Amino acid sequence: MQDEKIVDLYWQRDEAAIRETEQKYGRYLTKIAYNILADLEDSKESVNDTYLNAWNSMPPHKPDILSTYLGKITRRVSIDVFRRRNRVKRRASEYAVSLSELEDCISQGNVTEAEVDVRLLAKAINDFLRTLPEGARNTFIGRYYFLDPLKEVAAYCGMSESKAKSMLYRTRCGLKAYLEKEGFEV
Amino acid sequence: MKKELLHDALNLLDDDMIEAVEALRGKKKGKINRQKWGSLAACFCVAVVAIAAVNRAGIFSGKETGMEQSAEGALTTGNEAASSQAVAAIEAVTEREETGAEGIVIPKMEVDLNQSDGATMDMLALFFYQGRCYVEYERIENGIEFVGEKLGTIKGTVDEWNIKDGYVELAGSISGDFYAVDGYDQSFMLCMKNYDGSVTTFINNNDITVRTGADLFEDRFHLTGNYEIVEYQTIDDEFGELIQLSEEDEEVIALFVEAVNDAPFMLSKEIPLDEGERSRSDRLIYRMFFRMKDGMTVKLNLFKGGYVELWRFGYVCVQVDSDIFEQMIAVLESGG
Repeated sequence: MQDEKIVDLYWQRDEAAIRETEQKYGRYLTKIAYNILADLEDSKESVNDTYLNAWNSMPPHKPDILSTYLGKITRRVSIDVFRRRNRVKRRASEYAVSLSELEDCISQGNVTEAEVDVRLLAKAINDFLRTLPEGARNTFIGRYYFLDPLKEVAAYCGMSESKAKSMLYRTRCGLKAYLEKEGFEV
Repeated sequence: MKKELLHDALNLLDDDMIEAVEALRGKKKGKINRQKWGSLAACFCVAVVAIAAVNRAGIFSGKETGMEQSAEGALTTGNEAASSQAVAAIEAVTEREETGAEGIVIPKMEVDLNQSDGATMDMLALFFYQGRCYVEYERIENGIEFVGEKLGTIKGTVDEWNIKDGYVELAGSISGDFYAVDGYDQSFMLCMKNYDGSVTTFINNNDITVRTGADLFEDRFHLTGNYEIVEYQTIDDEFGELIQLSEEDEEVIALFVEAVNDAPFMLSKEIPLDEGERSRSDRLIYRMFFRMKDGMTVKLNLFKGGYVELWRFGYVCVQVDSDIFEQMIAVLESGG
């Protein structure tokens, strides 16, 4: 079913919207959740929460691109679950690995989370990514948005694993410099 | 700023950029799914065809034969996990085929016995053992710890050599007992004790086949994860003090090592020369020394154009990914 029709089902409060969403995007969303949680049961739970979030948010929302809309919900929900887990239960997921990689972009300074406007930060990251060549941008998004393993990212971006790794390293360094230039205390 | 905040911000990425990557992932995903979840019968057909093709090509040494056997074994079990392993093995096989990685055969060393007074022999310490020629690699002050079992005694005579094929077991340009080196394959490295308590290692640098850097630097030297200090010198300062790289450079060094391992071997004589250059030595720009935890050193020659070769292993070299090579050179140029 086309995305527009699925969104219409949500707006009509027709529960078939959930079934259609699951059928079309279930695997896609589970992959995103699993990359963060590294646990199939928790991932399924996050995906179910995604359907509930989608049900509750449409209307008023009417997303242009349903896949990214749902993917963002899954990503946010799964990261919340990851953070709620106690340390013992935390697993070595791609999300956990990516956190250490992203240390290149920031230092552990004294600036509290509340002091940084996430929306301003997101705008800066968006702007920075648009300055990058397509390959570098796709590699970064594949690794840090979709949290796909490096090997997979390299494969679908059509480059060797070592080249992707090198590219990510330079992009992280570039992002740090860009954020500093934009006045973020990183 | 907390690093987790970056992930919160990434959740607000523009949809068009995410969508572009979704499209790439979708293509790859479809391919994987077909292979992973396809019927066992289809999987079996692919395996048989792939393995048959590989056998015809005759390109496998022991390591790849192991993969092949895993694939066949998995197919007979009939379970999904095993069939996935089979697919993984076949993918690896296919990857080898696609890269055309038959490898480079380094021929047996040619020893010219007709030279007057054994001039060649005087220049390089070497000996013959079990059909291989071992050449001097390095002298290690405190290397006694890794001296293994005694394997034999080199006669140190050249007049016994067989003129026809230049080979006589246990002959050499030096003399004395020789030993295995603990932790290293005897077919690659042996050693001799010196009178001053130091040890000289010898490597077999010929009559072997190498495909990628990993065949040499990982399979034989176990480089990744086993070096603790990295030093370098410019060629101008060849006999000067070595400069140590700092821990801050480790990420670039690790990338460099990985790229060296990934790169296929090529003949060093095929390194293109610029006008005015007489040999590749004119393109040599740096030497890097990876000091291993066990006291060994992996010495690399770095040439303009991204070419890298192992000291005393100059018949072949690899060409490293240009971006990574430039990053490494930038670190060396900055003085570590």
